[in-house]
Amino acid sequence: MRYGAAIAIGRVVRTLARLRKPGGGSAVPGLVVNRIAPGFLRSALKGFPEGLVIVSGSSGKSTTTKMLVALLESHGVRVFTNPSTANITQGLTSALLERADLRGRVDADMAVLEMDEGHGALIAPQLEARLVLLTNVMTDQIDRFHDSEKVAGMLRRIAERATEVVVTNGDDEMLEAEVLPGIRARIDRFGVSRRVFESLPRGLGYTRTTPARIEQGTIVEAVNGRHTTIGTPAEAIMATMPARGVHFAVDAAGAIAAARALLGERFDAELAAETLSDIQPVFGRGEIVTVRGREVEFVLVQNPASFQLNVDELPERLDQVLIAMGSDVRDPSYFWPVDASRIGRVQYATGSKAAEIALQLVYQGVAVDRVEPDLGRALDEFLALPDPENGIKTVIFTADSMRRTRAHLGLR
Amino acid sequence: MSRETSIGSARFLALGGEPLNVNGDAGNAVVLAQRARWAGFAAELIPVALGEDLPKGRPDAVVIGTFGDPAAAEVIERLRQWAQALTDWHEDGCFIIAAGAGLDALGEAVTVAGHEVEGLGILSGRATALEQRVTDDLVIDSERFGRLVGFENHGRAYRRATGERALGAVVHGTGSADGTEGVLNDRLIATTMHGPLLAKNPGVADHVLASVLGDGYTATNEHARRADAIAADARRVILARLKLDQPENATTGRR
Repeated sequence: MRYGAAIAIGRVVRTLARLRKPGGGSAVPGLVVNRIAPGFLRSALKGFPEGLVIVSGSSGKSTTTKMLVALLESHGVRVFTNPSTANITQGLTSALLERADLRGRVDADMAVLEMDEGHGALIAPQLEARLVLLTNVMTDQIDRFHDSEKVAGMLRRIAERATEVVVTNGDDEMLEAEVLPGIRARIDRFGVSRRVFESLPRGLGYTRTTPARIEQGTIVEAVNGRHTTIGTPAEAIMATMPARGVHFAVDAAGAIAAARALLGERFDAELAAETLSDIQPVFGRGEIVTVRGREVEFVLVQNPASFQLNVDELPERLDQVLIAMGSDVRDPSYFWPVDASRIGRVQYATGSKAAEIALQLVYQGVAVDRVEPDLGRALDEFLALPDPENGIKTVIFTADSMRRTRAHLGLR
Repeated sequence: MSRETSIGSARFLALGGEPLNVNGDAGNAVVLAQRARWAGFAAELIPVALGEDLPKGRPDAVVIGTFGDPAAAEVIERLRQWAQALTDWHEDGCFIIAAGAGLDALGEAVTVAGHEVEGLGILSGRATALEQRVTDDLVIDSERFGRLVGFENHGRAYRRATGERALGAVVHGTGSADGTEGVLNDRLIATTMHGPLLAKNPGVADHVLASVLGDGYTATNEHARRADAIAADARRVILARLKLDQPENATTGRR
């Protein structure tokens, strides 16, 4: 009953927050409880009988976490997981409060948490994780992290909390050279085969890539559109990914490697293939949505590497593209290394950084028809255009613009 | 624009490859090449990775971008291998554009993790540590170019030697932490701003191009006018956020 009072207060706060702002206020109860009972988070996360799993890295965390949770649940494990949120400490406490009884216990066997490297490194010293899964290091959010070496340092602080195993991307040289040395837990690797690697004209997009492909571990052997074959030390798993692209297959390989380590003999390859193939695409990550009678593909760009990957995977000669860059990109300079010339023509550059992204596009030889900082207006006009001659309407946006787009179009 | 119909040709080098392009500074070479092409010149953009040999023959301009702190000592050492060639080219008419840590590297010495590292010696100042790292918009007023808008992210500052002329006075941000920032010399522009500053401040790009291509260069073509209208929007958005004015025609180049 140590945290009973704090939990009860957190619930009252949650109710009040929702009365004030229906559907919102999710971080507020966490803020309050962390203030009045600072040990709650640590205590609650210690209470899972099958332990705690942390997923971190620059890119692919959400997809990997979703895949790992699906794999564990299909094998009968009851999983607590966190909604991805900017401030993990408050968001996580709030999410735990949703599920905890008054003794502070959550009715689940295992916790699988997605943590961004900045906040993860801050709360990691309080935690013990059975398994830590590291996706990659990409040059990401430069204003916040300065450089990738710093990101590697943060990931090391998270990896140090692993008691049993660190599942790591064996193609990522920053992880290999800067994060793993000195880690006591067992290291399990995932990665891509030489054939898959050689099919990528610009490589995998990591800040540094290892000189050779891994020989042992969970390996993406082939990718063909949405179909992939992933080899594990025991068997090959053939599955259909939620969208095209090698990075989804790499995320799946990480999730499979972690699920095998966690489940041991309980892991069933056939069940894993079915589970992965059933995962629905996420909005902004390959899902095609019908909006106002038009088919639209929404593409989320989180950093230069994912911008480049997504541009490279777009069909050629698209003739209806909208690009939205919002206030989440403080200084768009670091997107300039991305070669966007393949896009050819952009109907609308929009968002609060509309002019900055338009400037990059015109210097890279992309025709930009209109620069319209008002995202709502640009979306309305773009959707009202007749269907494109080639491909489908494509909206490329940063995270902030994605949130605003969903709100404007009433998409869930 | 093909070579046959062009009115001249130009070569631009982006030095240092990916480690000197994390903030898109090599984009400045893209800007020079595109604006030259838009003006009817044939233009060649040549990226040169660290450790590679420089190409033969003096280019019209070289761009040296910013780089991260952990690799700084190694990057500067590699850049130093080109110091003599760069100095010779510069004396022979090559324009040098340096951004962020690229400016630091041009001086006599650079403080890296508490130790002094020898710089390229093309400039005579020294880059020393700031009390704390700065990440902010950087706005300066330059006598030559008017109000320039960019971004700074650095833990060091270049301290000019006596006789070196600043690029401008700091209106917002830190720069050299003495109210000024950058260096403007004959055929050299170096600034604490990183990223594609020549795109956002096309007057500076036009100064470089007019200097290396001569009177044949103009920015009156449709492409440049379009890009410059977008650049003016980009500057206006940043200046409005900082509650600063955009003086009219501040960065207009040769028209």
